[in-house]
Amino acid sequence: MPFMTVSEILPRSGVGFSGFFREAVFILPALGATLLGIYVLSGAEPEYLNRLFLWQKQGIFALLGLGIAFLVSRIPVPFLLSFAPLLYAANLGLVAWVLTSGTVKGAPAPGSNWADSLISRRRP
Amino acid sequence: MKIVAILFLAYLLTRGLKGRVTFPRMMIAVIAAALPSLLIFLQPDLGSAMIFPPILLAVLFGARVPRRYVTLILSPLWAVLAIPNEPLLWVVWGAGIGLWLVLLHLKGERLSKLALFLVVQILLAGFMVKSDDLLWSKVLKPHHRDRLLGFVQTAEGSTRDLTGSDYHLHQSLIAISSGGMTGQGLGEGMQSSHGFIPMMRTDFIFAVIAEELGFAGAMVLFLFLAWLLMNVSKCAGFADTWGECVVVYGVLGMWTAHIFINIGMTMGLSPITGIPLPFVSYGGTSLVSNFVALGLVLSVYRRCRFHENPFT
Repeated sequence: MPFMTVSEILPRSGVGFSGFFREAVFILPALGATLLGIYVLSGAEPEYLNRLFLWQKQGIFALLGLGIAFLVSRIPVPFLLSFAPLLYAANLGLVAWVLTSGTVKGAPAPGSNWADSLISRRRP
Repeated sequence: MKIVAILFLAYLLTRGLKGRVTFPRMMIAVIAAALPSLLIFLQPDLGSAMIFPPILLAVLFGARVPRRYVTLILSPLWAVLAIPNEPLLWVVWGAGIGLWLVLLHLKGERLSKLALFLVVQILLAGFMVKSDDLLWSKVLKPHHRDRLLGFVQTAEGSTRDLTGSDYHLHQSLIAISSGGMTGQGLGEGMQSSHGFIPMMRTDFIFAVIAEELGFAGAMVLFLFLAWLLMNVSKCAGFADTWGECVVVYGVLGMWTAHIFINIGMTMGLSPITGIPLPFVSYGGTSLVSNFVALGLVLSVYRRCRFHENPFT
């Protein structure tokens, strides 16, 4: 069964408030740890070159992540598994490209990590 | 990459199989986990590469791979015993391998396969003995070697170089020990507010929590993480399909490895590697990818065969 039809997915998706409360057993601890992290970041020195505080940036990413988690939770895992080889090949290609391009992941100096090098390459 | 690897491993270990993982399929899964791990190690990012073996073990456990096959994967750890190349250790190594082969034979493994396993073990131990210098001096980077040496010296209690590779750990231990019961207050930590702890908002955020929020804050964090891991492990048991169960175990293995290695390194219980603490460390990519993993668990939970809440 490589693909599931919509009629197979929907009756078991449990959409609604009861579904949300059931999911709270996972969301609450994850969100609690995230909020604790954001709280600790609020005591950090601000980075004056950035417009946002660290905790504000982390908060935005937490909201974004929560939204993505809800979206992903609506996709049945067996459906995702049917795409897994494709995703794996694409990811492996990306990791190999990062390695062969000679850039270093997480390098501290600007312009030397892979994201910075991508941006600087596109800059006129 | 880790989440995609979990999905692919679940695909390999369940697709087309009728409730039983075959040996060739398991070996393909091992190669599929080793490949990204090797590429990431060569970047070099030892921390991220170290997460793949626990993910593989968790996924194999979830897929109910026979334990004798899992011990085969763990056997390189036993070969480490032969590295000093001393007669007594060779005897211990041989006794261990002999016992393992006898147990496999009692489980019904064929003699031809046992002979193959024995040859593999001898080759592996020989490789370890001959190439330990190569592995140490060529494969590992200087900072990896310094951190491993620092970790071993810390464990032995010998005098450490507090300005070099042990600086991270030393500052982290001072921060954790100075937190007390309720901490020094938000933004008031002596080590963190003066920037003594390196990577204090990402890899070493647990040290900052322990210093600023104290033992109480650290315990609250432990409770949240333990609660999450416990619920995820429960969810794996209620998964609707075999593949979903394997995915949940993979996520559980990933989070458990992250939490144990990260908190362990801040307390000197594991070597220092650049691994974030799930949901807590500063960094958008890490946070979002952890929420994607949470989404996978939620998806499995929404479709689980018990429509009433199994947690009540």
